[in-house]
Amino acid sequence: MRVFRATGEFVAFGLDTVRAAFRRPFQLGEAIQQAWFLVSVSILPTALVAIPFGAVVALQLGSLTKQLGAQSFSGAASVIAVVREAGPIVTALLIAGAGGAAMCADLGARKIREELDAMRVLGIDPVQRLVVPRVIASAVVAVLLNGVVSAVGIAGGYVFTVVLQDGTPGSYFASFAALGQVADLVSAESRALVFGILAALIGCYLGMNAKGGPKGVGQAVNASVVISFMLLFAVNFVMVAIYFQLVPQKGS
Amino acid sequence: MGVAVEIDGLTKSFGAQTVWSDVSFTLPAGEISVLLGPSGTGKSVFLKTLVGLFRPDRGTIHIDGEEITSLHERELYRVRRRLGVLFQDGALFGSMNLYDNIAFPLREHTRKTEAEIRAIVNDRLDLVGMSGDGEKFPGEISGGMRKRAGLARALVLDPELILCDEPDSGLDPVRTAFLGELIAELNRTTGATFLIVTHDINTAKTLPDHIGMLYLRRLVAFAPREEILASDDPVLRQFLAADMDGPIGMAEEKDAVGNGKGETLPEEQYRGEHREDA
Ligand SMILES: Nc1ncnc2c1ncn2[C@@H]1O[C@H](COP(=O)(O)OP(=O)(O)O)[C@@H](O)[C@H]1O
Ligand SMILES: [Mg+2]
Repeated sequence: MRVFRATGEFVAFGLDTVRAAFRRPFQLGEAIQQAWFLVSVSILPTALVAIPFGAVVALQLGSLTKQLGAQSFSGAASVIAVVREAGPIVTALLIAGAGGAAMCADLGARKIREELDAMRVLGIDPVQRLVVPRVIASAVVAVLLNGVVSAVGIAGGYVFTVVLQDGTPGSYFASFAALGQVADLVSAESRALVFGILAALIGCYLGMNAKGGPKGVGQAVNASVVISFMLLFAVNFVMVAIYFQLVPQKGS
Repeated sequence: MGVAVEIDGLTKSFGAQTVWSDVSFTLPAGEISVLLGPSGTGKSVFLKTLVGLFRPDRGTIHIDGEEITSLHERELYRVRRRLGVLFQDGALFGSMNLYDNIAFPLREHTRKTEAEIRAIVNDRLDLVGMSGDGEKFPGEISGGMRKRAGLARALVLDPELILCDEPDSGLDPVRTAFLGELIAELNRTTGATFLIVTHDINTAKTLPDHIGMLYLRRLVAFAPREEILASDDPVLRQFLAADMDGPIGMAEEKDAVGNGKGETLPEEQYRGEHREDA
């Protein structure tokens, strides 16, 4: 019962945010500041997670393609795996684990200090002032992070295939072109966009509803990470399933 | 000039927990009223309900004749601009220094120039005895200073109704006396209506024109100060005397023992029970 009510309230909160996003004046300064903050907390961990993750994918697919007798596709397959799946997953982990959690802690602290109540009394809507710029910043940064992961993946695949396994650049790109398409990147980036929006909405919602002092804020941050992970992975599955339904795949 | 606030049959609960029910009284325009009550009786919830941060389950609130419990958020903002609220810990914006905190309502709601804003902000800082502290951040100052800065911010749009949540808790007796004097002075000069939640008995005995008390999920009384001070109601007498002997116990839950969870005692039973104790 409580879950249903909370879900309903969260959806209402999301709609409020959409409505407030069209209300002037848009808080550009706050959005830029938040985006900068998100980049500063997530770019390094993203790179540090993306490189070993990409390497593991390359190793696994290298071995698998050998078993299947399709070594010539190993580099391309790993790049496609990174672009299609690893990018959005790493983005989801970082944007929820670092970004959403930080927003939740920030808004939670403001909530228990009654800053949000004071804002409302002073005639300012905290959703318009604080939530909208955070959601937009998070969406932009998530797309950016996904781009970073994809770029790292493609560069890593090139190094792995061409430099370490003595493949030729020509065959690498040819196999890549045979399997992948631009729609893969579009699909990944649109998932990253949705993850960025959802992670920020969840962090802000739980932060603004924290109660019971500093301990309550800690619990809210914890919940925001767990709930975001579950929701983002579920949304990822749904969006990928839709993608395969809508976009015809090469060679099939 | 101050505005009157008429509260009628107000009831508020969170889920199954009733905070208080059937609260009715009128805050007289331009006068100072104090709201007393043991911790956890819902005084803060009451102030927040008055400004529309919580919606009551039942009942009405008329501020200057306008019913506010049924207003939309947008219309509420218009009413709130006539109010000043001092929250329990000042509720200053942690990301801004005191000057910007106090300037915030002016920058949001008026077209004043920065020079005009500076004059007003400095005047308010002066009023609360904090001139020269504008550059400080809320995290760097004491709780008492945060409250005074919060009061300065609440005063900046010349409100007609000022609500203060425990402005004196955590202050030493001398500063509490000064703060009481400041409120009396503001009331004289601006004519604003005040409702002050306090635990300080001295403040309650000297400052207000009227005193109300919340206890056991109901309004025990709201009447002119002299009448309350002379009352022989056991709850009022115990609270005003800070006496351990009487119906009010250590814990709010214990006070309610014997009447089932979350229910309000009928008037007769409530009186009878406490007569025996007293
Ligand atoms: N947002 C809320 N949700 C649920 N319960 C609340 C909320 N705010 C306050 N309460 C409850 O209402 C009661 C009264 O709280 P409060 O008004 O802070 O008391 P007081 O200010 O008189 O000490 C407490 O039991 C508190 O737990
Ligand atoms: Mg309180």
